[in-house]
Amino acid sequence: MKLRKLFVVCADMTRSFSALFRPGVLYALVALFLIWTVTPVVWVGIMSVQPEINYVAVPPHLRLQDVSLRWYSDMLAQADFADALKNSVIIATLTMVFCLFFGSLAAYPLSRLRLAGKRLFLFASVVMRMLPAIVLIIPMFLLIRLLGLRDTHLGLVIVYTTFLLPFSIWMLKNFFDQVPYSLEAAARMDGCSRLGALWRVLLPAVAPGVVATAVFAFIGAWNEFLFGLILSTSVATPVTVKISALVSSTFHTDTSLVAAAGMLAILPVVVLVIVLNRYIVRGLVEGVKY
Amino acid sequence: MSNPTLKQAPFLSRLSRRQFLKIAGASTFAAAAGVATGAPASATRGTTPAMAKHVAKPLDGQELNIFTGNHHDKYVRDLVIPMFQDKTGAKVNYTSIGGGDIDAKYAVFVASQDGSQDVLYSWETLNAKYGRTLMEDITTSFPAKTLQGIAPVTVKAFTFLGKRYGIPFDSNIFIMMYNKDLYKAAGLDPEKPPQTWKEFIAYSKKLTKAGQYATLFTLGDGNASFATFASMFNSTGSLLYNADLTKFSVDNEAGLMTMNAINDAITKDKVVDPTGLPLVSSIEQGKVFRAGKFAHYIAAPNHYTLAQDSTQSQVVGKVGMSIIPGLKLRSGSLGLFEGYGINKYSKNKVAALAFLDFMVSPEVQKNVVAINWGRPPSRLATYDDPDVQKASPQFAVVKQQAKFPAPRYGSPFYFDVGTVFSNYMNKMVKGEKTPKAAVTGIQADAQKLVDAYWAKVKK
Amino acid sequence: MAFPTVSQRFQRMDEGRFGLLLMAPTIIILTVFLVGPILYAIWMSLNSMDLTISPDADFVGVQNYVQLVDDPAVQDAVPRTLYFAGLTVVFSTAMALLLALVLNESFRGRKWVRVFILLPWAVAPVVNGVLWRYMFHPQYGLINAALYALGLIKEYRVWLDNAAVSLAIASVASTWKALPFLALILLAALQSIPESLYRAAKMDGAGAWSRFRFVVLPHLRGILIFVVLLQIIVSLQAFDLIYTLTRGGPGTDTVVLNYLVYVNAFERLNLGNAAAMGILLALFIVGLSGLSLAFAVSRRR
Repeated sequence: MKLRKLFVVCADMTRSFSALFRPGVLYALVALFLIWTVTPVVWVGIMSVQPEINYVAVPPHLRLQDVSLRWYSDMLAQADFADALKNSVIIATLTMVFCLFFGSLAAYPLSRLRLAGKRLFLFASVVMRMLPAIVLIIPMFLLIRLLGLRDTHLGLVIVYTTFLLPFSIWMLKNFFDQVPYSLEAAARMDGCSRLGALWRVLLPAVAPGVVATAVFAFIGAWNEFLFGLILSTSVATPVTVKISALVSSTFHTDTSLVAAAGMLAILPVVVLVIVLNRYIVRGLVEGVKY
Repeated sequence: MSNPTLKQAPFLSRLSRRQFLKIAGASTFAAAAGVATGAPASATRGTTPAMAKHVAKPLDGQELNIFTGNHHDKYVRDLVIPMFQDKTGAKVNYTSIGGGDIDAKYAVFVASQDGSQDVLYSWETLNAKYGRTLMEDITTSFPAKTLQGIAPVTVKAFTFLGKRYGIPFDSNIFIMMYNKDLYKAAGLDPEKPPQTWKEFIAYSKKLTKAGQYATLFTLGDGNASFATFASMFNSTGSLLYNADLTKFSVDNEAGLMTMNAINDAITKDKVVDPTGLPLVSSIEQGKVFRAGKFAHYIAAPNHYTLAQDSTQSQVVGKVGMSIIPGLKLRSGSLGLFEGYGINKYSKNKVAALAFLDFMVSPEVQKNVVAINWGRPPSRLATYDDPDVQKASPQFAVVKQQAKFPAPRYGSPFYFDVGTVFSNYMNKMVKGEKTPKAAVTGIQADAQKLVDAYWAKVKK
Repeated sequence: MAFPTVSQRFQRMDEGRFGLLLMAPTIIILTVFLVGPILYAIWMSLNSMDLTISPDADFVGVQNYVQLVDDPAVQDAVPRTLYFAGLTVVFSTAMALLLALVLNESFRGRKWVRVFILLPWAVAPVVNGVLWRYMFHPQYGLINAALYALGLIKEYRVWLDNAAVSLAIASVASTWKALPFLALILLAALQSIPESLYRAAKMDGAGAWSRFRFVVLPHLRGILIFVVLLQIIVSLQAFDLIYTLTRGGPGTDTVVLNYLVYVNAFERLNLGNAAAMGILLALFIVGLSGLSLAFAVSRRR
């Protein structure tokens, strides 16, 4: 009995003080979270490589020999879907660039300069985003049409940037706030201009934060559906609209095809997140403090 | 003396080009008007290539924008439009989105008075909902002669309060298909489908066993619930609305009979698949039918064509069809007629009208709608074509079915009334309301909606 | 004497003016594309615009707002919205906290786990609705297949056939998507807690639960409030998810307030009414956020 207690105490002592879970419990939780996270995607992924009769059966009888990528090639062979994927990439990338550019230009004064109305601006931009976007569809459509930007990539980029800019500015400002001014002060004393200090000292100092903001803007633009539906006709249609078209279609669609389309629609973003995951995690975890 | 070449006399050539355009423009208008007034559409068949080269096409240089649902891609985009472009010289831009997303787009078109799309997808309820505000009134501009050749029941669906806002190109209507093998297994005669609703229920009971139900009802949303109710109500001989859509009547013998029939089938006789109730369309059930697991399938006739396709059906050659057994009348059904309308704000209504006319021309009706698409055509004469009869035996049933009432009661408040039906009917099948209470409740709520709408219009 | 060059002018500009200059593009974009449409929406809400009758607007003042109070559709949507928002907030905050605590500890493969956890963030809400619709599908859903294989159900059942379950599933889907972001910002706060505090607590004989209550929670109060607030706002604005998951169905059972705005605007074509509802909802969200913040600040004191 005593030995057991000793063993527990020793084991306890080797763990850090902030460890709140026993190892067994910890690994169980990790496993559960992993299952919770990947299951929906894996299931639809399985649906996208099996003929429908296999998983419509009760219980489903999935067979390895029926695995095929033909639904993916069928989906990509449809010109309008492939174009939609291209459109989403273009629009999301441009939105990300705009958000980073204008966002850092605006976050810099908010973080570093004395300005009247700073609080008002931050407050107003947060409050304005609380209005359900649906209400803005018609005026936005009229505005975009007036500017002749209907069904263009630029039109969608401007609208998406408008929605994502406030939060991007807020994120960048938070990152800037954590960098001590001394770095820029040193640069300025060496003759650097204020803007130069921004580009060459401040932004690089919060590089992970910048990446996190960039990914956030990219994903935000990629995910947008309703404005994409209303503001585009055929040229600039993003892939989210095509997904809805498949799901709300009034004719029989091969479910495996819809599953493949869904997978294709999230693939580029998933790849982006995986490739940049280190920066994202660092940016969000280390960059946002309260 | 040689004729001045373009290089030597640019000014002359420019001038003569302008003059040519003026002449071409005038003749285009005249020719387009000729196309629109029902000049024989089949005239292009049999022109020699040499002749075709010299004939100026009626819509040369004009652009037409067509907007529809993506279920038209394979047929309208891939078949009809190339034919139309070839014949008229117009350039057609085709845009399609998911059928369920069309409402949002049309709402924006109306709110912004947008005429960028000339030809718009339409069906009975869209026609009524947007007739006044988005669709062009073509009662007088569409050639009457062409209209006479189109099934009256479909034309009626595109007429709202006496005005026509679209032209139907098919007469899709629900019919009943059944699995002959399952009939045999249940001891029923596969050549004798049920003739009355009582027989339908009796047969269904024999066809229902563990894990396998005889039939399907969909109550998933307003449209589905209303369709389920209305198609059965239409076999009672009564009508849900009066002629000018101001009076709604469901709290009567016919309404109660219908509601009881639906309720009994689901809760008492238990022949209805409960997993189908939250669905909004029976299209998915087609897959189960084609897998041979489903006996009575009430759906659009093109599902018969799908059931004969060996790449996606296991019941090839085992499907029987008949008209839907009715409650009081021999039968009643629901129209699914689709068509096209013209955007009120369009700048190219002449070309749009030509397209509508083309959709109901004999060659499109026969080759695209009937044979390729498998949909019953709206042009009556096409049914008599032997090729059509051979390719689609279900059209004989369709013609029979079209003799019985099948109104969908399209109106601007169609969606709201449908929602009322859906709420009450879903509560009823869960046992929270009796059929009588449901009927009374629907009557009160629906009439309120109807009154509220007409009050707004009068202002 | 030479005139100052542009960059020299730039440098000498005082802070206020320079700051304004840098913010100018943002202010222009937001004014034209955000403030403008909002003003138009406010104007719409003061008009009666029924698109099934005519595209013209009819000024009616605050009539739309007054009508909303008696509107049965609104009255039905409010409890659903509260239920959905409540479930989402509680579920997502709790799960995010748990995940953050797990990620805070060191274990083998932690780096890989962090990668996988980010997956839901990359899924568009439209696709999210499809994923969960297929998970709970009556005919080929994984949930049905798994429960059937485990012998827990005898027959595939329909999950999305009533409001309570459908909204709960929507909550699950919403939580699933929000988890990575929430867990990571909670993790950020967790990592700022100095190890010495844990050690002191441990020395005093505190067990895991006590350490959590007295060391972790106080530090997390601010960020937890932020998370709760964020999830309230997100769940009150949920649209894409419900659009592809249930379309507001069965019937109108999952029509929450934000979805009702869509129904009024694009299905019933009653734009004035929809605009009024949207603005009221926005004011409600602002009020709720303000209240929560005030509550948090007062508690701190």
